[in-house]
Amino acid sequence: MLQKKMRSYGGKQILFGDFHVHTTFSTDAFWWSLPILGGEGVHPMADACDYARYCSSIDFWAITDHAEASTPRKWQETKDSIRQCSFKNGSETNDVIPFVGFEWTQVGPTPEEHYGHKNVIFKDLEESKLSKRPIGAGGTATNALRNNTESLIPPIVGVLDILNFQDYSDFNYFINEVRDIPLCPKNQSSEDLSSDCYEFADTPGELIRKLEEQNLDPLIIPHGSTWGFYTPPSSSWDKQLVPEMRPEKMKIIEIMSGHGNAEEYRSYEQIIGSLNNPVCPKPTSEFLPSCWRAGQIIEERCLREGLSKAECEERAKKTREFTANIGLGGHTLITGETPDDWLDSGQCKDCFLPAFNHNPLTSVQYGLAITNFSSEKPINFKWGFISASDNHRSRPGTGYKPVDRLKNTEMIKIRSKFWKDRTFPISKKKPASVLELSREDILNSGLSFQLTELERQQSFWTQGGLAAVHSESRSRDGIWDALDRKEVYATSGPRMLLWFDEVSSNTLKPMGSEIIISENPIFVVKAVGSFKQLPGCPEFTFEGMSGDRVEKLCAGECYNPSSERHKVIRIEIIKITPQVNTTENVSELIMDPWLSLPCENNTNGCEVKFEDKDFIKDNRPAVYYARAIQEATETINGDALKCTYDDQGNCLEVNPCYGDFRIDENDQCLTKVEHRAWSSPIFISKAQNE
Amino acid sequence: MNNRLILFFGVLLGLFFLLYSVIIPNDKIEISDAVVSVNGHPIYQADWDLALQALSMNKRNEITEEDKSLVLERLIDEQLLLQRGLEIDLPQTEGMVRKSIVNSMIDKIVAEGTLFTVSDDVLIEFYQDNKDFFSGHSEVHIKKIFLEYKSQSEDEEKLDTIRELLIDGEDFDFVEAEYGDYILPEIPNMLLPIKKLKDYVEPDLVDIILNMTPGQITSEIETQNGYVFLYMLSSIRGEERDFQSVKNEVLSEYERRNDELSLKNYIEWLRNKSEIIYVQ
Repeated sequence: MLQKKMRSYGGKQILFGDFHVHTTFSTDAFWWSLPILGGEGVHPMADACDYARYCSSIDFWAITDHAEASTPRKWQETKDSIRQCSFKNGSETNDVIPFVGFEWTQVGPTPEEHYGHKNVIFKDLEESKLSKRPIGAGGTATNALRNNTESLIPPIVGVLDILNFQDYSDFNYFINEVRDIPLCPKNQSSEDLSSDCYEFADTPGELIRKLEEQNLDPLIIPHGSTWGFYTPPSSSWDKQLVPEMRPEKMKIIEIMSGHGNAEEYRSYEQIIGSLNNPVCPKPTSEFLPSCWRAGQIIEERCLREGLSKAECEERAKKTREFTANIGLGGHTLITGETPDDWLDSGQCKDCFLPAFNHNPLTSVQYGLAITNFSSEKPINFKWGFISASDNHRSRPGTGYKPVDRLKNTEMIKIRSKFWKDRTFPISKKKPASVLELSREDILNSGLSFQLTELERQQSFWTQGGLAAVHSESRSRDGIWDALDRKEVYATSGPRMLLWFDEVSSNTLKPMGSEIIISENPIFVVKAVGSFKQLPGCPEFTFEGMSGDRVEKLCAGECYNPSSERHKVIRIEIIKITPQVNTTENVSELIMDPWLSLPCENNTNGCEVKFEDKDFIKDNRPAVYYARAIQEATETINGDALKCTYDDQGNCLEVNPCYGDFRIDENDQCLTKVEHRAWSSPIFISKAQNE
Repeated sequence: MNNRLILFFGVLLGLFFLLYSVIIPNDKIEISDAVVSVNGHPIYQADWDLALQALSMNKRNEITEEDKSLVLERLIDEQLLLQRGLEIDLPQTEGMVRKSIVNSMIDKIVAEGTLFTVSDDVLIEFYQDNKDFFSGHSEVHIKKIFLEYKSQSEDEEKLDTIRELLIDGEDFDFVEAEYGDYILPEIPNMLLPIKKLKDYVEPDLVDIILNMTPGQITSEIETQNGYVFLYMLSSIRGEERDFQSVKNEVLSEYERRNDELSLKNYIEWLRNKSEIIYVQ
């Protein structure tokens, strides 16, 4: 009779959305839309609105263009376009609910200065309830997306690709428009600044303060936290878990997107030692550090040149030192390197769809396990989880079908070797020695996107995931309240249904709850697989868009459910016991999985119940979340590197999926993976009077 | 004789045969085709041939004279059992027999009333009169009872109980709680747009829901995992759609209503020619 008793979800519905979408108002999105990169031209906001409504059929989405590339004109157009998307015949519709937001694209050159990207999402659309201007991140991001953008395309490209000259000219206009906006004066309240200047904040705390000066309380959503392409090695969550960085304002975290999964902690580190004395760690069976692989590359070249083994070992050692010292962008010290040279170095080998160069110290699990004891009351991150696409082509909710990787992922299509050589120039010289440059040399070199191993990242890009909210109504208020309660979950793309509740008392405590109990917690997880998809688009799509537009925008494939669901094959429970003193080793506090519960072989979904019998005995707070695993299905870039391994599990050769001419456009680079839904955690403390 | 005269006699001859076939009973012709008469009821050569044909499909060797004789005897047995069944009033006393006859009658009446072609003008007029109906539901509040497949007899028994309770006006939630089986996902207890309903209910069932009206409860629907009864509590109508985009739905609805009308008229005719006495 448990099942019947547990039926109490009647008052809520699950709504699916995407809170991370870019149009060509973003610098990188505009760049990727250029013909040299096989782009389809500009992707305006109207595309995103139509895509959400007719292609992916999601319930809500948010525009989050990079603040650093915004201008007063673009911000006004963003707000107006979202209102147009939302309103029909003068009243707000609820078929697709769009939100206004921007991305604070912070990147620090060193671990101490790095905070990572945060999306800022506003609930309402009225002018007075929106920021007067998007607030950018100071430093590297402003330089890369605002001041140093000409390095993205060599000037000669516009001349060579004369047929598309207009597009390159538009890009130059884009850059100049951004640069023409003056910086806002410092030391003035954000509320009092004029709306036609560029405002930036250097830290999350400063960003939140500036928004509060405008009496705004938007969602601040960290995302892409483990992305190693811009995260300096050794960066960790610790410096953001301090009162001045306002961790309590970051209620929700984006656990996964089309740029990779940030969930899992691993005990490896890209670089060890201190900032002033970085050391390249030795490889293990689980992890090959990129700095170590850099040494191997130089050593192999050296031996090929016939130099002595001792000399080559010495050069390898020096290479490791220099690349470890540089931290981010160590590959730039190896002249003539190609993406294949790096094998699987820098990568999490057993993570689910990991981010490129996955950085474990900024993973979600690490963040949940650490505690700041500097205040009277210990501080912890208490995030709810969502996923997103982080699509830069105005396509919210791309993860519904594994089709057209060049439209539905961030892969860059480069037409030919001619253009590839001009986009990612590779030196024909392959010297057997490292470039002896310092971190400062690299930072002052004018390199921006080139530092990010953009070509090598291509095969790590997937279609991304979805945010799901348990909402009391299909409305802006309903969605916002669910986010505020953290009664939300993430999926890696498919539209899975998930409930996770603590049920030891008479009242259900849904996912996202923070509870204090005096008995062992008992949980129930219910999960239902997503519907298998039919080819093509439903009639509804053609009622709203012409056939040509369906083809162009949706690639002729829409969310189109059949009557059969995928099976949920198991439920995994992750238990994290946040530090109770500073000496505790985080890797011992994360139990992943703590439980793995099989599901019956049926298509009706899966329901499991379990108790943590040690909770009272252990006498310490614990965080629990559920991961519902669906049967394996084909996924674009499901296996990023497609390594050939030796008997010891070492990667001998990679076969990645590039976006360029080397891979047939019709090859979707599919591998079967077990898609999943992650519940938000339930945070439990033991009652003190017990 | 001129052509007009030939035509006149031809028409006259035709009318004669027509009248003959209507007025004179054709029992004699039938009897002459019969191979056996069982209590005055004929078993025709055609019936026998059909049974032999069925036998031949399940038999490797050729049909023998002995087979033919055996089949005929079985047909006689069947006729005797049928007559006995009618004699002891099985159609009135056995639910399955009764249901089968009633269903067959309904099919027959509907088939006789089927419209072969409906002009666009008729459909447009019908559409104009029922615009609201074809605007579709924009939001619906749906509840369901799910019954997991078990054994046929167990399923039938439970289905009968549920049907009877629902027909008697029993509360849907009560019937669901008492007799429904648990299945994920539950449909949220609120108005949902059709698009959202598709996250909870298979698209095949959503197609059925689109044609329901508030207050309506379906009979059991077979799905992949079991039987489902759907109940539409309420709905909000959507925007008006133009005729061409809903023409197929208009035709289908027109035919459905025509079928209902045929049945209604037939039953009315039956009632008129019958003596119905309300005892209490």
